[in-house]
Amino acid sequence: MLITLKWLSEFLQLEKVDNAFAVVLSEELLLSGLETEVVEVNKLDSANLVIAEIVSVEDHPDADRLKLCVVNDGVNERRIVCGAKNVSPGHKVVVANPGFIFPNGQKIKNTKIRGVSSNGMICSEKELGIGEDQSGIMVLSKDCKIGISPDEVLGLEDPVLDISITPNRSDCLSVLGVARESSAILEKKIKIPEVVVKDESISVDKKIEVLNPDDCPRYTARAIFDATIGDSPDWLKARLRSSGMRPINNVVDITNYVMFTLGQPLHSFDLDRLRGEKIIVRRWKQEDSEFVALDGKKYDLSEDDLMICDSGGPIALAGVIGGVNSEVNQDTKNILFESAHFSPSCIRKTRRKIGLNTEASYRFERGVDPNGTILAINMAVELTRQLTDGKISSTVLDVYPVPIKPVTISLRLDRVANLLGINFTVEEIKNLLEPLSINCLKEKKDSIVFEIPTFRPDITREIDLIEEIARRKGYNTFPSSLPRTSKPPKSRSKRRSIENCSRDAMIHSGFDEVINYSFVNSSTLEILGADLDKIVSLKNPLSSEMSSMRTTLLSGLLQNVSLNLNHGQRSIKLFEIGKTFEKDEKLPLEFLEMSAVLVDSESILLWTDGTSPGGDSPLPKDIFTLKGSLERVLEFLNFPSLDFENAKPDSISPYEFGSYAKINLNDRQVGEIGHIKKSCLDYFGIDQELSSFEINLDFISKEDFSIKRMEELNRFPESYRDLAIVLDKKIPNSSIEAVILEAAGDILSSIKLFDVYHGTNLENSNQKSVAYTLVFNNPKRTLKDEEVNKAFDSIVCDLSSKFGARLRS
Amino acid sequence: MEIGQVEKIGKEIFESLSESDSLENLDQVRLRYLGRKDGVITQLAKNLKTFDIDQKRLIGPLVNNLRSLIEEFVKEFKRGGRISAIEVLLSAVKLEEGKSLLFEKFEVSVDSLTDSRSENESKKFIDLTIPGKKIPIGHKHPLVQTTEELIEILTRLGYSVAEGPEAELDYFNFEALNIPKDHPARDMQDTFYISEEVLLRTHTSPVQIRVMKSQEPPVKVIAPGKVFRCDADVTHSPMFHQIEGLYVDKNVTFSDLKGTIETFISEIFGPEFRVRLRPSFFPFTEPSAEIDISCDHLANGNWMEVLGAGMIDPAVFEAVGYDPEEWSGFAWGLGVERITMLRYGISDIRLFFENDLRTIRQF
Repeated sequence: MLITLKWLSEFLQLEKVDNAFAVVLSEELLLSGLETEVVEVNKLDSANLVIAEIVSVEDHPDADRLKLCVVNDGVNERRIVCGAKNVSPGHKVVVANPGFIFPNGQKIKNTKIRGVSSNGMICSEKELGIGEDQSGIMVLSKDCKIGISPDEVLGLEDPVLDISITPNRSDCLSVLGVARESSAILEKKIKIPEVVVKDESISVDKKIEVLNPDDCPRYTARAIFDATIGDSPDWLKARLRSSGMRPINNVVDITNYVMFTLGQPLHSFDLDRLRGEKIIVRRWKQEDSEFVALDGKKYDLSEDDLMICDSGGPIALAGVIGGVNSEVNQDTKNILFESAHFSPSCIRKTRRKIGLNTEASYRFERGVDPNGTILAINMAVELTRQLTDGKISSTVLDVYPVPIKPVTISLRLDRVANLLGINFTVEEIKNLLEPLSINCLKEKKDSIVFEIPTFRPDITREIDLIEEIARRKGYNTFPSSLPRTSKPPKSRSKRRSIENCSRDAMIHSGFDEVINYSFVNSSTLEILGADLDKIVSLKNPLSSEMSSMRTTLLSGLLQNVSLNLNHGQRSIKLFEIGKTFEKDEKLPLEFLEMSAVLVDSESILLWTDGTSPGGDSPLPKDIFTLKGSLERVLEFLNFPSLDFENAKPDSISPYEFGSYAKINLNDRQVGEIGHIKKSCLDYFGIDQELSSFEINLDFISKEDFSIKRMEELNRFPESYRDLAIVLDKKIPNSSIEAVILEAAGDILSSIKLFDVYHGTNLENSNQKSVAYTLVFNNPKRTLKDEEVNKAFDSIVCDLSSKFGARLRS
Repeated sequence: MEIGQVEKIGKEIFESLSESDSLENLDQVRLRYLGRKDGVITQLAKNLKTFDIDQKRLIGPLVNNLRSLIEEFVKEFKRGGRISAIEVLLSAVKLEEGKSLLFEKFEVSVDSLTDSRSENESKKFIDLTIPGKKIPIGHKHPLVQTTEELIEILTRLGYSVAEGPEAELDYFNFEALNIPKDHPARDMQDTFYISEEVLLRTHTSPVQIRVMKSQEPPVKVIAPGKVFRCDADVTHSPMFHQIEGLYVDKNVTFSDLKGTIETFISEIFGPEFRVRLRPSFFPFTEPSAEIDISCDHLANGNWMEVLGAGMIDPAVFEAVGYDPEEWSGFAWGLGVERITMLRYGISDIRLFFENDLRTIRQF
């Protein structure tokens, strides 16, 4: 909310209303809970501005669109060439003299425009930085003095405060409210303007009937006759502009001005356009004809919505917006002002449904003082009388069947001490609260009863008062202490340990961590093999690109690969740990997953001198590097083991046929690994081979983890044998190793694969050659050669009988 | 015995030592001069007593010096190789300068010794201004780094980590936190809905409710995690990370909240940061506060908002079945992105989720 310091000062009679004081006040308001900033105004070079009158207007001899205006600035008459259409003799305007510098740095000079000299410029609102209107020059009131600075008229020297009001402080959505708060801070009495209504004994033949008093506890109306609709005076326009409102006409401007001043939204009806004798406040009915609002739109309404009606049907949507059928326009003579109180929830429901947020609905939703309607309507009619010469009716229509009274709250002193940590005396508390008009009704030894003014609907409980005490005392004056906790911390959850451990292992293996949005577009998920029926969709996504909760982490990772390839990265190893989602009965299922991708591209990560060991060592970049990183994760976790099972991916799977494995744990699939198929890569615009794995960490965290046990060191020498065999390509390594282990007996302590070869040197292209280093050892004694040979022979024999393997010569 | 002869021997010793390029070679030299029976120096020492007193005074120290020179040379050769042994010769020459003229008379070429030194040096020369070889490892995402650090600080303050679902029931995200359906505070948080009752959590606060509903007080937990709001610009992301803290016990006061926040800020940002609390509004805490920090060397010393906090509202205690007369507590929440942006000087929140390696690898 924007309000000016001079406006505020009308309630407080401030000694100073300059920028320096505005800064001080805004800081104080900030520390008492109203987030306030002084608006940085583009300082206008106002010494070079003057109010002048247009004396004559002629066409430019050489340009159709330009006019030659002679203006009188109080001292001289001079010519200005102007392009605006609305120039006319007699207009009072703001003229920028030669030498004037605009906020953007542009400078006005004496110049010639199409051969005619021009001495200054007639300004528009936009050029003066006080409004958006640049359709023509800004025309001031006729009674403006010429030859003086426009500062006063335009409100240029009045500092503007920008205040963000939290939803609980509806009382501060007005100059009055901010003044109340400031009066407590500044310890300065507030002066609420007394409105003396000069009315005449003209009665109004209207009756108010409220059918839904819960939605509308109070409805006040008052009429003014023979008013002249026209422009508002400059001071009123300036006030509204400074609050970010556009001046429209005097009556509309007055309703807005009173709302900003007192916080009470008002509405004005053209009294002569109201049909029948009654104004009825009721819910919308099926038979009501369609309602066209002031914004020209038709709104779909229902029985939940509260309407203001005349005998012909709805004339306003209560508390939100008026209707065109009763709108005040240039021809209006007689006006009925409405100053009502509506229930916040009723207004909010309607506002949310039709999606229309107005200054009025904003205030009603948050709570308006029900006992402020009379002051507001009186201020409105009296101001209208002054500005339009209308005649105010002496009848005040006011339906308020059950007056809303101030609530009383009992405050226990020990409760205050227990929550705030400070012992306050009764006197101290009263001194803090009474400046807020929260007055003490009764005083006991250990408690005080306070009466809460009706403009503070946020204070209903003892705790609300305790907050006011803390706020008034000032949060930063409280002592600091650390709680003496009686609670020992719990140990880290297993799932978190697994997440942290897995992350560390991936980092060690050279993978960079990414974080992607949890939502993507559904077609991406479809490409990646998601079951469409299981996708969780958002009802109100920001865009279709962010409409579906991811079912796989690959959606983000592959996009990341594509982006980084485009940036010329050649080695891309990424991983992400995060949740995936799947539709379920009530809440979606969430799985904590880890996924990694690796791009096979040549890379030299270290410098090299050709001889230095390790310098040129090419890092392995294939899928086995990826698999190795996963094995390192398991090693870090001291996880028993996962089975990799060569398998055929589903037809909808993103994985390539032939290079794919399921990752199983106790016969349950917990992940998968493989190359991503080309059609998928094409979708993401990736032109490199790419391998990836995905693993469900939730499944893994259900397993038992053992603490590492130290293994006895070998005291007896180990024997090494290399085994190189040729056999069918398709026989998996896991099976070969199983046979070797089985055949060797317990003296085989480890198997290490060191060579895999498919190629032209083999007789048969369906074959492969694999080579292992076998390590034999007996922990109790030195092995004899014969024992090792025997075991080796038995391995060769079993491999031959089971797989038809033969030793490679 | 003439002094000249001893000097000649000395010169020979210098030459032989400087030319020895292996331990075997050197051993021969040593034997030749220091051999127990017929080493030249050994013999010389034996014969010293036959010299007259003047000769003794001149030759005696020289003989001793030569003996220890050989011994030291051998020792150094074994320890540090030929180059360091040559240094022994060079320093012997220098040492004697000005003290005695004797070594000068050996006419040993210091130049040749230095040459041999530099020749050796250039063989072994390595340029240590060349960059080191960093074995590539991965990089943790900057948000994860901040989160881990915050969790580490908070667990030291005695908090345990709690978690909750990211797709959450309206009840836990709003209703139980004292934000009923028609409450204007719902406008503070633009919510992504999955169905009427299910939404993406807009803050980590529903974890508070889940934790309190599942256990008796006292409670001391933090809840880190992803949260979602329909908002996107330079400082707002539709997905971001929060860490929420909750402490419930007997006699917890607003001063305890203040002290905790101050300790926490000082741990994250450093003790030079000033902390300011100002009244604010959250439906689930009362009194509520926004916490600003400032520091001379950041943002021109201006205050920056980093945290929201407050005493748990009695309505929340009632929703989870705790007696608000018996228990009190506080909660606070912070945005991990915001803290990370402040710490590393990152100006655009979207960079965190773009996952450009040029960004991630800086952290």
